[in-house]
Amino acid sequence: MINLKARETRTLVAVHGWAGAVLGLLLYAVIVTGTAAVFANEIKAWSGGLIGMNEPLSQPLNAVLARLEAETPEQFRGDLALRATPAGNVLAFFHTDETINGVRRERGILYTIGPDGRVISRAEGYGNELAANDPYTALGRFYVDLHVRLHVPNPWGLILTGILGLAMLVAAVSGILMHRHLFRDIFILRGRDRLVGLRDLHSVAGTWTLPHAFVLAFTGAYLSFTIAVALPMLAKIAFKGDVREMVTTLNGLRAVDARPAAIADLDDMLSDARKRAGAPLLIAGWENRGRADSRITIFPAPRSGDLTAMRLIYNGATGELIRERPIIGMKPSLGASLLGLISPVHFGNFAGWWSRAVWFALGAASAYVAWSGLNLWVRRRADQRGWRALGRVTAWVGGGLPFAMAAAAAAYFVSLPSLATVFWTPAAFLAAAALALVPALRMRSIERVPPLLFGATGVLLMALPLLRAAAGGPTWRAALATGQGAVPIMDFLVALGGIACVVSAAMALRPREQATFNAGSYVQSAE
Amino acid sequence: MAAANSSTAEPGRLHPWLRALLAGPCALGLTALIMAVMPFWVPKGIGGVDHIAFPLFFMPAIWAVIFFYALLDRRLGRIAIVMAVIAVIHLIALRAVLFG
Repeated sequence: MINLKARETRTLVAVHGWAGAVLGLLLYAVIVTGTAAVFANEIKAWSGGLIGMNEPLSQPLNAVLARLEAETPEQFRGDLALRATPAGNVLAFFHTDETINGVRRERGILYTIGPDGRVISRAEGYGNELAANDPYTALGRFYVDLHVRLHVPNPWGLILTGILGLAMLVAAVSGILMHRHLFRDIFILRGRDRLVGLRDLHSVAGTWTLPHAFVLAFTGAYLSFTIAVALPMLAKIAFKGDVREMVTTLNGLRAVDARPAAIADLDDMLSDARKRAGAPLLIAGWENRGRADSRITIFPAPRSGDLTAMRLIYNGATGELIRERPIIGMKPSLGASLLGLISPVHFGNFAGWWSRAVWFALGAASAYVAWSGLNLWVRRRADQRGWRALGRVTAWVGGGLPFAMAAAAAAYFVSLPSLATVFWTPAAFLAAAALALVPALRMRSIERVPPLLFGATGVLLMALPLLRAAAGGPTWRAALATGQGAVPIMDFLVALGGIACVVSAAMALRPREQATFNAGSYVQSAE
Repeated sequence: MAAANSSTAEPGRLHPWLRALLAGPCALGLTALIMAVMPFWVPKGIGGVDHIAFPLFFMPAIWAVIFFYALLDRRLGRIAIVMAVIAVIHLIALRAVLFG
């Protein structure tokens, strides 16, 4: 039992409520999209249709890369980035660095290499723009961008989600501090038709998900603020603007030696890295090919049972391993271990499907906590016109966001054959959000709006596996034959989610004795 | 600390806004200041990066401690003095490191 004085408890209740009232809807959007983004790689593999192979960076690549290099203009051959896609193909990006308006950008030719060295696509341009225009990963990227920065341009989007992370931290900590009977009340549910019932559900769900919410808020604030603000600030102050010294401290000293040198055997290095890592390889970055100071940095996945993996650095001229190093610094350290924990704990990818499933479930519960908290706030003020308007907006966002996300997925599959997914995925999201506004504005009983939209979401979700098949997506047999279990599993999970949405909507919409929004009785029962 | 001074609570309509100022923008600014100075006193550790990693990792915790202190201490004057003293110490340290 936590026993604060009445005045401090009132302050915490006010901060808990106002933080939710002001930022709750954005927080709800970030949590819902983050819950979907737990399966971002699986969504990309499932939706892309380009079925590849298990561990694509373990296949022989020398021959195909030599052929592609010959087709690549001389100016882009210096650096090469290789990345295993979630669908099991390899992205090979021959590029050079260019500085535009003081910002370093990578420009070159991006090839997508399928199984057996087959080249699936070729595109020229800047790396970030090529990634943003990839039609096969548009759905997964749309969800991730919505979660990471709410599609607000950088750095403001990251700062906004960082503030939302801090708001979630405040809500979690104040929720603990102001709760007088934390452990007793987590089992109390007094029916769902009254305001006290809603408060109980909010309280119970909030308490059970508290450790997870705290960790996500902490790591989310770190991820947003570090990239947008903290690291650039520390680089300027701690290293007095000396970028070379910062890179040397964080990544190791690079001696410049531009003399021509042989190019090492990539397949041998990747094979050696695979054995040392004991896990699939994810990324390989090769700098200064054909020079004496050539280096290859290989990023493996963590070994089974580990949270982080060491990076392997090879000499790109001789093929010898130079060193293994952690996420930052040259040697394992407490600081590197702490920073290495952030990603697996935030993304829930430390134990495969199981940890992601748990993270998904806890994320969904956290989304309910944010939404039910807003509903509580609004219902207690339902006699005031302004708060009633927020109630309608809450109903719109609460039910409309999942509906718009499902509509975006449907539009993605419909537009995949024409490769117009980059346009239609966000366009359908906005159109569906606008459509969801109609019942939110027009329906007399706003309590019926979210279930209605959840029902529509369920119908769309159930249709997605069929749309995927109609768009020419791989069959379960073809996917399983190449070790891509994400396709059948995602089909099953999406359909299951759709059924759950329809059933819960039907239960919520069935006639009850008192299901209308009646402010007076709610306020009385809450008091 | 919060409970100790219940009799000296400061009423007034301005106080919620002053508290919001201290717990909001001032807490963010003080967090940035503390982070900026941390690389100069946190030990580098065996990997030579702890002085960079610790400010980054603990940034949300530093902000949360300042925020809840500014929220729960009943005396606004004391909050302002504590935050100002910490800020001045860090500004002097930062000036000495950058321009000393």
